Amino acid sequence: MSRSSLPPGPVGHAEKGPSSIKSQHGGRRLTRLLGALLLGVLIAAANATAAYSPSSRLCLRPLFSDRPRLQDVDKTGVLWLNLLLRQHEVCWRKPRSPNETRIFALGNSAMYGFPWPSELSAVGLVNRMFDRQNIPAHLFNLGFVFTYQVKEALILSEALPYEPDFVVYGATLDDFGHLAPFPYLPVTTFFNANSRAVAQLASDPPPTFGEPFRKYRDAQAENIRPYASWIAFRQTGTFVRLAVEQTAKMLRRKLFPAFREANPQTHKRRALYNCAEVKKSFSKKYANWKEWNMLEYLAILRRETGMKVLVVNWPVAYEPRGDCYNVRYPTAALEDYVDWMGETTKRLGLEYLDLHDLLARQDFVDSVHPTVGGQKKVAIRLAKQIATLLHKETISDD
Amino acid sequence: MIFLDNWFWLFAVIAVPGFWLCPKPAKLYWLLAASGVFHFHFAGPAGMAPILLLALLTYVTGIAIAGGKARRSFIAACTLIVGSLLFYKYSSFGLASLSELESLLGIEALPEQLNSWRAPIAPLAISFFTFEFVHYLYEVRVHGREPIRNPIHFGIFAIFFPSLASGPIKRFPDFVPQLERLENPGVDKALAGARRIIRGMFKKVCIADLLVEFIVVFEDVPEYTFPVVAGLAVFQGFRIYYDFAGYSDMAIGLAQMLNLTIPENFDRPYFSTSLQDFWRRWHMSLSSWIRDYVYIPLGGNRNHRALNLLTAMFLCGLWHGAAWNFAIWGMYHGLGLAFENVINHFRPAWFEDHPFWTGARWVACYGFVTYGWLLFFYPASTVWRMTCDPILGLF
Repeated sequence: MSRSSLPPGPVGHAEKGPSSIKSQHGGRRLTRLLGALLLGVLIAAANATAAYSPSSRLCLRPLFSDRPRLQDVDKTGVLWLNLLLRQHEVCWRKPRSPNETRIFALGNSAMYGFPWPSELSAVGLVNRMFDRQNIPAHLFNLGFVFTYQVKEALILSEALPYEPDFVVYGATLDDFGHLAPFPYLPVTTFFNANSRAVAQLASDPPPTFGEPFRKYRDAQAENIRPYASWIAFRQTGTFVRLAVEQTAKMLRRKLFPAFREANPQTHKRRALYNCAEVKKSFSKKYANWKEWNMLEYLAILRRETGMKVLVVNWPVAYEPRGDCYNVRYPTAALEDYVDWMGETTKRLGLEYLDLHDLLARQDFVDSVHPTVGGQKKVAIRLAKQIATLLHKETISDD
Repeated sequence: MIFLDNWFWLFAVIAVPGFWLCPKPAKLYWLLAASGVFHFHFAGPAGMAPILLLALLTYVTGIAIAGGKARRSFIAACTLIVGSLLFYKYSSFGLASLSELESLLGIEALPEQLNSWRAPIAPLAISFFTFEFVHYLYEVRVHGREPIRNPIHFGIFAIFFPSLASGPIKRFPDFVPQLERLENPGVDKALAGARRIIRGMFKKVCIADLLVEFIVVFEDVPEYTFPVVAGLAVFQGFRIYYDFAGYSDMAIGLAQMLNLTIPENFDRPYFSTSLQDFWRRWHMSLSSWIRDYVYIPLGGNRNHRALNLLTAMFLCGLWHGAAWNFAIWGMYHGLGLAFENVINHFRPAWFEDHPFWTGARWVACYGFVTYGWLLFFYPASTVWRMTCDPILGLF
């Protein structure tokens, strides 16, 4: 018995005929309609935020619910700076006044404001102070989680087309790790996603950064560079998926205004540590740490473009144990670093704000990240210093 | 998904043009070798070995049945094939269910070793292999079809790479004759295949995967309101359709590029105006298999129709995965089909081709099927909350 002669049971097939051909066309129409609808939504969303673009670039819809940031620590799929900067307010923010100073704030998770929402980060709080006191300046949070100045150099070089007037660089000794490629998967993935920019910087490196960028370029030569376009394509796809997820979250917030997403979890405070192990790890990771130097890059940019630069020695928790300052470095190393920062910024003619011992232990949620109170203390000092540099000495402490 | 794996694309750009370039007598061998490489890569030796053993058993049994040793060989082979599926896919689930029942009743009947026993990882696509092998033996034994004597033909039927992982479930009387006159596809057919693959990828990546982003966000809500539950059900319905239809399109398109035709799986299912109509359009290669090899052998429409429907749909549900929500979903559809038959019997006017009744039937069918996706995707306790919370919210 052939299949076509089987009796049509309740779960049986209809024979293929003109009606089923017609219905297949209907199915295609539905798919095309959905596809066109999706494309329309994406284009509209991309254009909706393209209100202001100093570099005449196409800006994209902010990717993260915490809009003015370069990343979401829970969503680290998109790492291609080309896309991350287009979705960031550096691309689309319309200035409040024509003479508003564009201040790019670079740094690690402390500058990012982890684990707090952006409005409670030091950058967010400074912006609130400036808004209240009508100071025509805006800080753009380009903080990116993990400590590594080579990453900051890459971000800054990619962000330069967005025309900063002023750069604030918040650093800790942690950022000066002397390793390339950095043996940590998220760091490797970040550099791989930006392999074209890495290759460019390797051929025309910022001062002192020739070695690390060449090492990254060489490491990527075989397995990453040939697939750069493919990686960019995948990154764009991930970006679209994240954009859809954020749209869903926005809808959820409208339906459930009281619903709050949990803050990201921090590592626990590590006050009970073995100082000998800290010293051993430090000597391995930080040998010759002064060789690669973000400050030299900032000094060149200041000279060449006339932008202002403020280097901030960011607060770190003081949790002493033996010869160690905290779980990350020996006391002697930190003292050396503080002296070096002061001397180097002076030599290079950079503005310097030393906040390394500004905060008490209770101002940190863990060994690295300040509480909201700590962020506020940093923000007050930072705002005052920036205002001074902008010749607007009107910042009050509230 | 296998078709979105980088390795697969590398494989496909060698396997498909390689097939075109092969001289005609070598095409079969190329296809078998390519399918073998594909199977080995994704299943590994441990996943491939049981399937090859079952394939060998099926091949030998098919020839034995044709040689006169029909009944016993057929029963023994089917028992082994279905037994393998039960062992790999359902034994852990069955034992876990028994263990839960034990603790519910407060008795200890199962030995301790069985309580903690877990089956080895099931070979890739064992459900699909089982269905194709049982179909083959049934057709040879019951419908007296000529078995596949050429081992190369049988090998390709068993592990044809486009349909290996997730179907569509092939029928050998339709598939094998194509192997006997294998040649390159025309340019039009190859291009149509390529277009079908692109369409499938679009369905999967640009629609199904993006719907998942919405679904994941709305699964995490403080309370299930009516718009949230309705949205989840609708989105899950479109997500599973575009996911699976996309996969089927890619498989069918790939086969087309090799000048082979494999069955269609979907025919605009959400335009169905009755459940019977829905099951003629949804996962067609599975539903027709269930009809031919479960429903009709059980008695079909002749006697105990409702019971046959329930049994067939229960098995259909369980085929999707070893979990109670799939079984409940299957029974839900079985009950729906049985109820529809009763209405059809007492109110035939409702099933007439009249715009009002057609519209009403579409609404009822779409609502029924869409609510069913909640049963398919979520545990019964969650569906209970999803159902009760919006109703309680009204008061």
